[in-house]
Amino acid sequence: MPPKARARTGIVGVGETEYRTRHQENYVELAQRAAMNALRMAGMTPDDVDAVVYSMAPTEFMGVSDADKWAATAVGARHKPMMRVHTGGATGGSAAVIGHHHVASNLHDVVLVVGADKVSETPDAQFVLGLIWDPFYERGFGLNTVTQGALEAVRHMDMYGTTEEQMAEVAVRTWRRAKRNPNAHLSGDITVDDVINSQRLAWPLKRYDCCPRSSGAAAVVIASERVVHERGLDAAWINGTGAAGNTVYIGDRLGPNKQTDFGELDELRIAIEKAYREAGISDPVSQIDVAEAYSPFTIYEIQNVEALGFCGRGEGGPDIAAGRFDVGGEVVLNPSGGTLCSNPIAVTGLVRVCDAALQILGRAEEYQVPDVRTAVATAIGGSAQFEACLVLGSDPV
Amino acid sequence: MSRAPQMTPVPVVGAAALTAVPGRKRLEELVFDAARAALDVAGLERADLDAVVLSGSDELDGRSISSMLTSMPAGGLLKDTVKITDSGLHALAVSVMRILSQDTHVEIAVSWGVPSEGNPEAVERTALDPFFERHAGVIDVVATGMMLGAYLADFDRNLQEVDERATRKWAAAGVESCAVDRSFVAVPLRRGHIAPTVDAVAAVVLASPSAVKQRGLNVLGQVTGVGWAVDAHSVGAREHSSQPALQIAARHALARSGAEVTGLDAIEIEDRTVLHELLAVEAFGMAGPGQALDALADSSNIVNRYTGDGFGGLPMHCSGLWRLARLCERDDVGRVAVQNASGIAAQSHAVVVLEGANAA
Amino acid sequence: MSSKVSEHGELLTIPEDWHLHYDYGAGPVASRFLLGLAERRFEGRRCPSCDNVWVPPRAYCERCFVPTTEWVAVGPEGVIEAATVVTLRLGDREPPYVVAFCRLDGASTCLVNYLKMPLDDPEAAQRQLARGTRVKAVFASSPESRMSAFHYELAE
Repeated sequence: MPPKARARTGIVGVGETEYRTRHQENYVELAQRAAMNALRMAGMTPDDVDAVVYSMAPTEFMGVSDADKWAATAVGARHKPMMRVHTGGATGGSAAVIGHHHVASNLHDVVLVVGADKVSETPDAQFVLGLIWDPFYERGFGLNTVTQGALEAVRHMDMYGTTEEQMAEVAVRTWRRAKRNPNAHLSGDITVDDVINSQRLAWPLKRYDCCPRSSGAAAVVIASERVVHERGLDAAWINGTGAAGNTVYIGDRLGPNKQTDFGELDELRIAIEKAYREAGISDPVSQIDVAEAYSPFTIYEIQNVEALGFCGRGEGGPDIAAGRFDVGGEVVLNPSGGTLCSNPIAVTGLVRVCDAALQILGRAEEYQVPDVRTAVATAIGGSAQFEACLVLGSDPV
Repeated sequence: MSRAPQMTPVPVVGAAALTAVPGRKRLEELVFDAARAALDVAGLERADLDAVVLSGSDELDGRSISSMLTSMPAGGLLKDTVKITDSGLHALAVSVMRILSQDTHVEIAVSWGVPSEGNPEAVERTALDPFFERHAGVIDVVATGMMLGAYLADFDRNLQEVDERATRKWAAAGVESCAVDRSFVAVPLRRGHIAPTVDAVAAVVLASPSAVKQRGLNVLGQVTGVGWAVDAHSVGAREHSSQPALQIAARHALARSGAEVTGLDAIEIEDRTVLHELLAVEAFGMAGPGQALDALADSSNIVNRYTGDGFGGLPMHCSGLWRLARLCERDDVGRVAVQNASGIAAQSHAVVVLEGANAA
Repeated sequence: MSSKVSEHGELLTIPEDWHLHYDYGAGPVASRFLLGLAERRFEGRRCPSCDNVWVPPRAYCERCFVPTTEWVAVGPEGVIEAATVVTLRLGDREPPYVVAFCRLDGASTCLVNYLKMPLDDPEAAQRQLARGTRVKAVFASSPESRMSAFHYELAE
């Protein structure tokens, strides 16, 4: 089916900061740094920006409500259009999609998508995350993202026989890849035994199965086709986008009456399907070179590769453990180290887009994978409730 | 804005604007009622939706990611849902952009504000810069008081004129002048200068022109222009007696619609306080700086002429989308600009130009 | 609170605690369910279109997008669909403890709560929490209208 005649947009600038527990700068300065880095790569200044899309999830971590409004001047948005996107952990991916629409609508030519988070500004992160559930039925049960991730793993293991060792392989391989990314919060050489013997949190998750609480910022500049050509810019073309949300009630995603199972990311499949269709991806393994897949816990990486169609349902664990998606593999998974190694919640989804774009633009430096022509980025938020997906390419479709 | 050309109008095919009695139904049920009603007006089912755009404030709702609970009642189950935190009109702008991108054909924008459940002033405090501004606690009413004082001084107007305007607004809402509270909140802003808030939800269904044709949908109105802009966060870094961000938002929306402000038969604005009303009138260019009181003294003025004075009960966060939905329920509306604000002392504004059933 | 000397001099951190109070209106459906807990009973709501009995109850069906129409008694026994033994301190509750999503008899969907059982060996305990294991809801001696009115236990 021929693609619709839609306006083409491309990422022409990428800006990231290092992801650490703490930074010297305050929140708005962090956001500004990423914005300036992205504009610099695009050869632009704030005056070139027509509109800003701000990526910000719960503000309770860094303690200023409407943090986007606080950062407005710092990111060059004063007296310009600016709006903030918030879909929990998926925020950064959703923000990139909305930024794409700002341009594809023909209302704007150059849009800056930017955000920041300081997750360690409070020690009470999991308490804050416990507030996301229904105040009448689901609060007060120690439901937070760790126990939620644990329950997803329980389901996947029950359905497909996925093992703790296979989950541990995810951590081992991701940490190793992250060594090449100086921005990564965590990286290094760990073994399966290290992971298995690490502190137990909520069965089956152990410490090394989980992401860190990171602070940092990210930004992309999205431009219209006209601007890309006029300025002779390199672009990572946004060839496909998709998003989908599920019910918040985990209890509806279990049992014989479920529409989707909590142990799989079927709502992500819906988002991916649309993005693939728009980008003309029919054979993911052969067509996609890099996947920056949102996985704050090891189980998510297994769920992601299945939802992305890189393998069948239940095969993610064995395939990752066999090294199928390592550097040099058919598809390289999270060459940046991904979310497991850096999770500045409000922008993590945008970091996935940044790292996918850098691969296409050939600007990923030490963690560059050779000859990347197509990359996919996913983002997940809430109780694995909100999902976004973008497919980027070195050529527009 | 780099692009001056007019945008393609986007049809409105469904709308609902509800207010709620506090404590009766939970927020999620109110959202369902509005979304269901808007779909019913459109003659559509949830299955017809391509996407859902929400707007609400987590902090006001007391839910750390409130869209987790409100996306399903808005129709978002297993559909593209996104939340824009700024205001209902910003959410509508996203739906418009997606349809203009030819990415979607049927969208629903849903926004709400249930101030009775939270404590807006406590929440506002948390939005202040923690290093320099939280100490003095310049929340919305305090900033508005300062700005009202600046406005009166800059343009040599007096407080009595503002009181008179307030009295007329209360009268329009059916409240006797003797009942107006004259106590000061932040001099010279009185309690009686501030609109009372109501719990409310609004939902608007948009469709692409091709979807309207293919499915034979009834068009209630057309969105012909959208614009939005933000000012500096610190009130100390802004103009005190004007709203440049609203001027910019209005200019973008009108340019995209191809209309002039003189061609509007109403402006439907968020009149949180008398000052907000004065500044909006001037930002739209309907009166010169400092002259809004004179324009408003003329009883034929076109401010909130269809949806009524905000002093009858102002929705919070969703007031623009709510007014727009109300406009779409009528068949006598011509060309209208709808506005709402967000942030401390209206840091951010959105404007939508709507051509109603009666547009020339 | 910490300060760190840098090329710019001393770096400060400013401490602050938030207290934000909310009064969540539960609405008639959640209110009836929660009041039912104080009377030691569970009810779900049936969707007239798909026949699902939603627990926790909803005023409308998310899938069919119509109001639910009927209260249906469910439980007090059911089955585990997913559970985990939490061993790390993540909030107020002292670990170890079990969080379980259980589907009460007659319900289409699951209700989450703590499950009480011996936990001196968390790994062994987890093995007893397989999907399909039967459980029963056990009410407090003076149950309130909150989800804390009951907990699950393994049925004999």
